[in-house]
Amino acid sequence: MNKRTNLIVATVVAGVATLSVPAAAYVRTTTSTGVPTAWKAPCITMEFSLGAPPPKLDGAAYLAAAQQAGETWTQASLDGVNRCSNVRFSVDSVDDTGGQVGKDGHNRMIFRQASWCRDPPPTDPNEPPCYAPQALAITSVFQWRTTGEILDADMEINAHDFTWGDFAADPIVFDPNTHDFLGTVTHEMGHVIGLDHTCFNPGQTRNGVPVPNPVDNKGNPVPACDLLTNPETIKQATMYVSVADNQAEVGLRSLSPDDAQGACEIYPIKNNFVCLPPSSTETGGGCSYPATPGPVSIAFVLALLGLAVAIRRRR
Amino acid sequence: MTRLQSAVLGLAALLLPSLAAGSLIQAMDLAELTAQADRIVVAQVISAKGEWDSSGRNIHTRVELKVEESWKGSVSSDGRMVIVQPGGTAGDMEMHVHGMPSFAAGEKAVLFLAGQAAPRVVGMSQGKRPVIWDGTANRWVAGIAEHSAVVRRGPQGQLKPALPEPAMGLDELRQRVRTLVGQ
Repeated sequence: MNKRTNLIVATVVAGVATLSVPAAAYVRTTTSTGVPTAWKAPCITMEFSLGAPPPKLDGAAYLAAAQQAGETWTQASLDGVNRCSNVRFSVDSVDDTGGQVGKDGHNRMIFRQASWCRDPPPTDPNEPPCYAPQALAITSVFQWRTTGEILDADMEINAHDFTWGDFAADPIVFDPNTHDFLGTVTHEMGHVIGLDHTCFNPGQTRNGVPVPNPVDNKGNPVPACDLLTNPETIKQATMYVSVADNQAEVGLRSLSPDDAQGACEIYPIKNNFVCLPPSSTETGGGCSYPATPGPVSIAFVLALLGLAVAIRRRR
Repeated sequence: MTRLQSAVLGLAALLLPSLAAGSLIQAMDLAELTAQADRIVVAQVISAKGEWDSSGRNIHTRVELKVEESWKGSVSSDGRMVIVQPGGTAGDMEMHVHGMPSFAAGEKAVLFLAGQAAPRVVGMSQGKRPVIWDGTANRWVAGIAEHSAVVRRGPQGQLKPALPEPAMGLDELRQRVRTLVGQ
């Protein structure tokens, strides 16, 4: 091919690539020092306490929903076919009714039913009081302030003040205190991997200082949250801040191009990436990002073994 | 329930918004915040210190306040008050609890607080309105709360889209709250 042909081919390829991958924007969570947060090893195992699940679903349905939410992020794709992210969510059922959250190497999902408090509920004024009843769920993330590395994440779900259902199976639920479990957990898992909302309320202060508008991955200011005027591309994101109706709440279950782009750019896929079984409390209670033995390192290990055998035989 | 009523409710369910905020907070308007608060104060933050709890697994932040004005409820004679809330920074470790308000020494805020012995901010970050001096207008302004939810409950309990409570002069907010309190 001559130079001109090369140029034409390159232009066509670039054009097709531009058409096939829609322009997308996402927003990352940052630490208090402004560093974007992410897992070093995006093998995230959530331990879901399902000893006595709340109504309306049963334990199997809650577990299936949480696993589906994890799978949605694990299968993030830009072309609808190929995975593009190394995120691996897995959700295991644990046969207890709650328990404590905190930085302990276990990522937990816990329904709070008897009270909307940590376990055990506080008895001392020097401890944080119970949660605000307006909170549907609370996600706590442990992260290094200077590097942004996420170490542990726990999700507490308010089943004391709210009911959780399946709006796809039961779409006409007129109850403002009932929410779609799968859609909500999919959204929360976006936070667990370090994604923030796709809109922002301008004019806020933090620590007495005006909070600058965050920027998306393209460096553009994140738009003001307004359900009435935000464009559909922003409102359709799983990481949008609210939904307009029950049907839209179900819509949170599937990723928009913005959400997928976020997962795939923060955790780009690597071919030799595997998750190891949970073995260490140092890695956030799940898998490890292994120093995956590639062909060279396997050959090196085999050579070492061979050398050891040879030395042993000589002796 | 008639078929028509069922149809209307079903249609309403499809039209009314609900929440899916990351911090998953139901938005509250000023009347709700005021009603659910045991105390509403304008306070200065004396200190805000994060520390590990006794289990060594969680960080909480202890916020010491000096109350400058009380709009609802009573405060101690010395005007001192302490809030303890989950999350915060201890050394280089952060426990980020989505939806909790942040505090820093020296800042001033209107706080809607529930609970007597162990007060908490009502509606998580919605119950904290930062107070900032507007040198241009020569007045104190109550800014927008940190929360980002944009829906709130209507009078029948349904949720509908709404913009966050706007920033306003502290005098105006004081007047509105005192009207709601019935003073």
